[in-house]
Amino acid sequence: MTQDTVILSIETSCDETAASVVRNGTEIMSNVVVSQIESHKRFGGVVPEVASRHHVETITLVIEQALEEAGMAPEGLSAVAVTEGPGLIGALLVGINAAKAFSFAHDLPLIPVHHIAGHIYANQLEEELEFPLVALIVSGGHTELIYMDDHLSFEVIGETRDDAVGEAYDKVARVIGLPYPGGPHVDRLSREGADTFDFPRAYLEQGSYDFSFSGLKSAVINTLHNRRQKGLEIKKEDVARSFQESAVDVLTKKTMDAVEEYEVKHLLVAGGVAANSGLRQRFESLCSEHDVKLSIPKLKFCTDNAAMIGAVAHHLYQQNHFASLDLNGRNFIDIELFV
Amino acid sequence: MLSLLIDTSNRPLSVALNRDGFTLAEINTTVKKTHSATVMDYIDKLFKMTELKKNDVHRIIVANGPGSYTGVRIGVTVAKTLAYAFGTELYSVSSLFVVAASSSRKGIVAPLFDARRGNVFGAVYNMKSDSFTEKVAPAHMSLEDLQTELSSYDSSVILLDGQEKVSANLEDFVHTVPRISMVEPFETALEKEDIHSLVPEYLRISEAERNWMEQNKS
Ligand SMILES: Nc1ncnc2c1ncn2[C@@H]1O[C@H](COP(=O)(O)OP(=O)(O)O)[C@@H](O)[C@H]1O
Ligand SMILES: [Mg+2]
Repeated sequence: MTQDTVILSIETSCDETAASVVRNGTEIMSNVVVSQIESHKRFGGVVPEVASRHHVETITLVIEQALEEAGMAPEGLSAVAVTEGPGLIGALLVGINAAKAFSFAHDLPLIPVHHIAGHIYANQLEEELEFPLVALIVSGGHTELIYMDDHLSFEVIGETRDDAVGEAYDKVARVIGLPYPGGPHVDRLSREGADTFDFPRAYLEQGSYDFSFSGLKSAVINTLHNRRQKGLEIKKEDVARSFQESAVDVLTKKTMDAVEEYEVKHLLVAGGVAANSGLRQRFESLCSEHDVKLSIPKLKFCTDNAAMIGAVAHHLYQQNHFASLDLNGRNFIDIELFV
Repeated sequence: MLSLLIDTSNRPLSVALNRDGFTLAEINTTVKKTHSATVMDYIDKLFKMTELKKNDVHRIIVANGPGSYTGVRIGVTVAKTLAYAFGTELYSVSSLFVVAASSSRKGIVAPLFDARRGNVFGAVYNMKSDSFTEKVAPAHMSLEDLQTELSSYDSSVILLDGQEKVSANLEDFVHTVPRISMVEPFETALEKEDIHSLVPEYLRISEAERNWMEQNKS
């Protein structure tokens, strides 16, 4: 019988202070997430210095709570894992220094984890990954298509050339007067509207899996501006629906093309925008049409959390992928070169 | 009593192990390196150099600001987490007081860190050999105001890391870099802290909050 691997993981790459204890990469023993969203709302977005200040306020409490809820003493742990990047550097440094101090104090190996790998492995908390697979990561900071033929093997086949899709959602929400973060509000309104504006779809060059959302965002802003100048009525629901249809069309078309070209049977969708009802519905029907297994984790595993970091760390632990005490945060890390 | 002391508030880094107030080992640097990558490594080295066991530490003393926001956060995060993990006591000390204690100057001293645009983080202390009085508490202030305050004393010196340029030209100062090992004789400068609730003394709200308050005055 092989021994259990129990990992304490820490994630502070953006505006959630999170710690979790995960057994064998799949079993969540605790998953503590302190969201700062209420504090950042007044600014209309995450302010890095404010985020860093909040992380240091709660970091040890969050770690303590994760251990307590798991009923786990430090002696029972196999390792400490932490998000190394990408993310806001000042925010990352709080988690990284806490992880290093904890690992030093308890003589535990330290495992650095790529944040996007975490989002992909969030799926592993609910079901096993089946290779080869394609993963679409859609969040406030990321829009990426990744191909995997085995554990820890990541190939970025497409990514956004400008705005992340969640960022575009939040900006569109702002111009139609919805509070931050606007994604869920746009999603809600869109259900009561129709695609009357027919905003552009940015498919880019033939064969490219890259994305671009800044053109769509500008089209929405310009259209609203023109109508306001002419004194024409603007139906927010229709703007929301038209924007969402364009975003969903592009995301699903590119993803399904990749699924076909790479001949995969498993599609993962993760990140905060995976909560989007339009995106979910479209993927559900496309995947059943094409006989592809679709996995979208529960919302609490789609947004930033530490359990997903622990899920990746399990595989890194088995490969002895450890860091020394000079580990530093990095705001960008190429996921292909990560392991 | 074994104390682990940590200061990463500015470009200099200072970590030490003291027993009963006497320094067993210390590492002080002023090179431009990121404290995030070095501080835990140096703390590890202190234990290796002294062959002491980490669990023998009785208390941790951390310089909790003012200084570079990121720098102070690194020290405070490491200190909080180590204190929590070891179950030891945690104390804070002003990063400005660390500079005052590191100088051998007695009498009125004003340690300061540059805060740009003619402003500084500064304090004024009357230092004796193993006691002191705080004349001006650590604050964010204009250099001019600090100099006016100093002119009311018969004699005083400004303590400053001479490698850091102060935005308002300042010529009359004594070059001093922090050695946190020196703070222990000054027990009243040390503040006992609750581990979970310790946060840095930034002495300034963030720029985003400042702008937000400007805009939402009415
Ligand atoms: N139902 C939804 N529809 C569209 N976007 C959404 C929805 N729910 C959340 N979002 C968006 O997801 C993003 C937050 O996701 P998250 O994974 O926390 O991103 P990040 O950590 O990269 O900022 C925000 O941009 C938010 O507007
Ligand atoms: Mg987030």
